[in-house]
Amino acid sequence: MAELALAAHFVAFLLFAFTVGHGGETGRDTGASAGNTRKPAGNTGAGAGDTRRPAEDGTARQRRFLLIGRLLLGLGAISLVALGVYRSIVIRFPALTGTYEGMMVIVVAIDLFLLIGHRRVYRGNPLVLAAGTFTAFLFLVILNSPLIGSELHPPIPVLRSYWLVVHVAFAFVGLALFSVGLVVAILAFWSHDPAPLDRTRDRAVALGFVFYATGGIVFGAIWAEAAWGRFWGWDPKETWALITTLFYAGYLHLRYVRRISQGTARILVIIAWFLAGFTYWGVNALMTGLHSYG
Amino acid sequence: MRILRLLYNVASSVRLFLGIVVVLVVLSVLATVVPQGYPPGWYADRFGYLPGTFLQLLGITDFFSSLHLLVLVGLMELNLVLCTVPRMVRRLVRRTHPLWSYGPDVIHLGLIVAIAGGLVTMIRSEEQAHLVPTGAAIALGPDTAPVRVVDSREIRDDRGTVVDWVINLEHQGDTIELAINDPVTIAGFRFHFFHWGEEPTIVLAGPDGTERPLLIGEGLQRSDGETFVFVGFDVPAEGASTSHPARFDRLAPDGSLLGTLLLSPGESIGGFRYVASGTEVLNGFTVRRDPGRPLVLAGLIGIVLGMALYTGKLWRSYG
Repeated sequence: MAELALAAHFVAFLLFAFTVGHGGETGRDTGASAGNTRKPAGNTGAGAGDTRRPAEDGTARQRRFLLIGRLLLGLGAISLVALGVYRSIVIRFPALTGTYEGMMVIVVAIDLFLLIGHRRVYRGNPLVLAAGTFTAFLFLVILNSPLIGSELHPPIPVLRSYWLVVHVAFAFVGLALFSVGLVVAILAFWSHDPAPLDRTRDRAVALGFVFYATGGIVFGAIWAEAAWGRFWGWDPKETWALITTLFYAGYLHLRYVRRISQGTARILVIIAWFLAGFTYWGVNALMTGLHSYG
Repeated sequence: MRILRLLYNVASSVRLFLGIVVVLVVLSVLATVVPQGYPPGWYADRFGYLPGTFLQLLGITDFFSSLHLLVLVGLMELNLVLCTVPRMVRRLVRRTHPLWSYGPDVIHLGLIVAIAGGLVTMIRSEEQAHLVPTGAAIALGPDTAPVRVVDSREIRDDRGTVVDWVINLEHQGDTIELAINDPVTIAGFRFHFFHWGEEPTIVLAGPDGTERPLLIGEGLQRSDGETFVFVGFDVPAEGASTSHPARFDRLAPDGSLLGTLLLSPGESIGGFRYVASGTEVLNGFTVRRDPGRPLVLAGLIGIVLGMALYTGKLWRSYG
């Protein structure tokens, strides 16, 4: 299943990259957002440049490629969901306790962002589709590599809580959206038309913040109170999750209240992702605490 | 008046919030890298006199329970109150904004309430941790009947996988089941499970020949105030016997760690001789009374509600 998802994402990425390579970078040729010319209601200045009416100069072949690519993304996401369901049945609990499943959630979340947000969030921009698919593909490469063990172990009693499911799933969805934000922020430095990428970065990060802060911090605190008797304990994982959340909160205030430049915003999003990445992987590898199991 | 206005503007500014965030982020990063809670001399030995002193001045050596953190969190609370409340009141009075546009304000309000609850917890909460054998009675207070550990067990599914641990407690004739992730409230105290399993025990014989069992985590105090806490055997607990040296932490009267000590069978510590060892099932739970809990919980629910409204705002703005 994971191999099928890897292959589907690879082919989808090639199709999107082909479309970008043939003049589809700005989304003018996709027809995906035809008729969607409403001015965004954003009051932040972050969506400047949103009002471009999609031109109808796209070729039928490019539209077909984009459609097939999105279908492949959907196929990849469905195969991962099926794999998750199978693993959950085997261990008789929602399989969300390991890095393997974490990566699966991240990939599915990126796919859903690309599929659901196609019209409203990034207006069918093929470069965003290619970038997002490439991000998911990279996670799938790691998922299928020997770096991540795919063994299944039933969770220890302390992890058998439904708070675990919402806490971990929300935090991973947040990390997935931050990862999309990272990739489009990097690409925007070299893009001829960075506005759609910057818009996507703002939206992915804002939505990612909602999931990350709610799942990682709030639901985590509620579960911690049920499990350990206190909402907060300054465990290394908690502390780094708070550092990440504060940094992203600072970014959102800078972006939407202080209205910093796009260049500064891109750099901050790149730094912020490394904090989020360290919270997920670095703390597990380098520090021990209440979030170290097994 | 002008000074007051200036102070108000600074205290309610986004710039102050961003400044607090930067300082909190930097100090928290340092505090997860620098080992926490050691005596002052330890930092001077480890990092050198000047860097060690500097770390202590910054409060990094015990950051998460330091005054520095308290001041930063207090400043953030003040900033949130001054920034959010007047703005929200103005908007509510005008009634010109749709419900979903209140998302950030509700998040801020939730944060204000949660931080206030956290401060109440910090000042007023009481906590005891117990690691006791079955049959032990726990005193909750002078006016409250004790709670006794009736029994405890491990629950396995049909494949033999451990799925839960349960401790049965008895209070005033009622039996209450305490399980992991499932706290119970008894006489206003919240009980949280934290441990179940076999742990090492040793038996020490006093000068008069009376034997005293010592569970893991228990200590012996010498007449000079120094305490020796039994922390385990020098080999895995399984198969422990009198041939295994017992390990003790040496604690100064102020609780700081002076070192460790290995006691072989037959040797004495503080007048007590090590005569036997074994294992015993111990039940671990914490007992808390926290007046800040309802506030923190209300604040967290407020944050979730605000996040939901904010998501609606984002989605509408994508239109």
